[in-house]
Amino acid sequence: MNKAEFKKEVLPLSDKMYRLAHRLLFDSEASRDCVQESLIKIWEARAKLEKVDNLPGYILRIVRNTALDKLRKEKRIQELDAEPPDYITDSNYEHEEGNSLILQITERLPDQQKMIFTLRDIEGFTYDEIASSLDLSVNNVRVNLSIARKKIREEMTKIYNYGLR
Amino acid sequence: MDSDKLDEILERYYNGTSTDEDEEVLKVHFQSSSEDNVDQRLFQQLSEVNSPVPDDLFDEMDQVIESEWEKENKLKFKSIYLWASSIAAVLIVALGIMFYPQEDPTLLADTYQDPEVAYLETQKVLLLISSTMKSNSQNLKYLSSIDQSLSHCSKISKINSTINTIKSEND
Repeated sequence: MNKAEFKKEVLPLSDKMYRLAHRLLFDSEASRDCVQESLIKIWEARAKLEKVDNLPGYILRIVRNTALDKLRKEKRIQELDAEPPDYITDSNYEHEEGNSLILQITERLPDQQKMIFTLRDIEGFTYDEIASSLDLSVNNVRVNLSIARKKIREEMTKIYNYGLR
Repeated sequence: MDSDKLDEILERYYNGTSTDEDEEVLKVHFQSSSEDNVDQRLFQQLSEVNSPVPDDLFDEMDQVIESEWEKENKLKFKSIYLWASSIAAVLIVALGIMFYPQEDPTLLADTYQDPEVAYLETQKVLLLISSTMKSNSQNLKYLSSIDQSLSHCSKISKINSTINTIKSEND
């Protein structure tokens, strides 16, 4: 794949690459670095890209692995420094009371359901992209998504009908 | 939108069987809807909470590709340059060896300008060689005495043959 083809095929996915990285790292700068690192990895492997069946899935899997590596590295550093993580305080995650409600409910979901719901309903990923990113089958993604959506609706119903939080 | 049709799509949505088109229909419907129910609030909030992607991300990633491409080209050029330099060095050495001014053996004929002097010098050299050979051949005289001794030894073989003849006659 030459430079022009690479730009045409890969660059339009940088938004999704960033969104996925941000959902895993919760930090704008770290997400940006993650996308950049992933892009370099993909560039270096561009000779093989023509043989890849699902290019967006392949790319998002690289982003996910890069983000997880970063998290592991950060965890090791934090263990060494014994300081609390600061990425959760990222300003992008601070929304208005009304807007953050859905995020607060989402936070209470199990990790896999939370990630699947976020990628599909918040970030707009396709089922295939989610399946590739998380190493799951599309069917598994749909099942988990259904459970997550129903739980969120149930929680919102409770909150809006009864004022419970 | 027809409420039955909306319920059908919502059911598919919550069962995780909705298509991209179904979900697009729901988004559009709830964006323009004035209803106040949980589904409307859910879709409204979903549209407001996606991760804000930095505006310059695309350009930055474009730059990353450009710089990686330049880096690769520089490396390629560097390796080509190194190869070319090595080949040039080998060629220079080879040409140097080929065209190095070697001493022409015929130049020896021109050592003396006057042929008579050259003749005399040659004579001297030949005399020197012959005198050396003569003195060394003196040392070879001892070889003739060895030869004489060996001829004496041949008599022993005659004795031996005589003994053998006598032995055979006795038998």
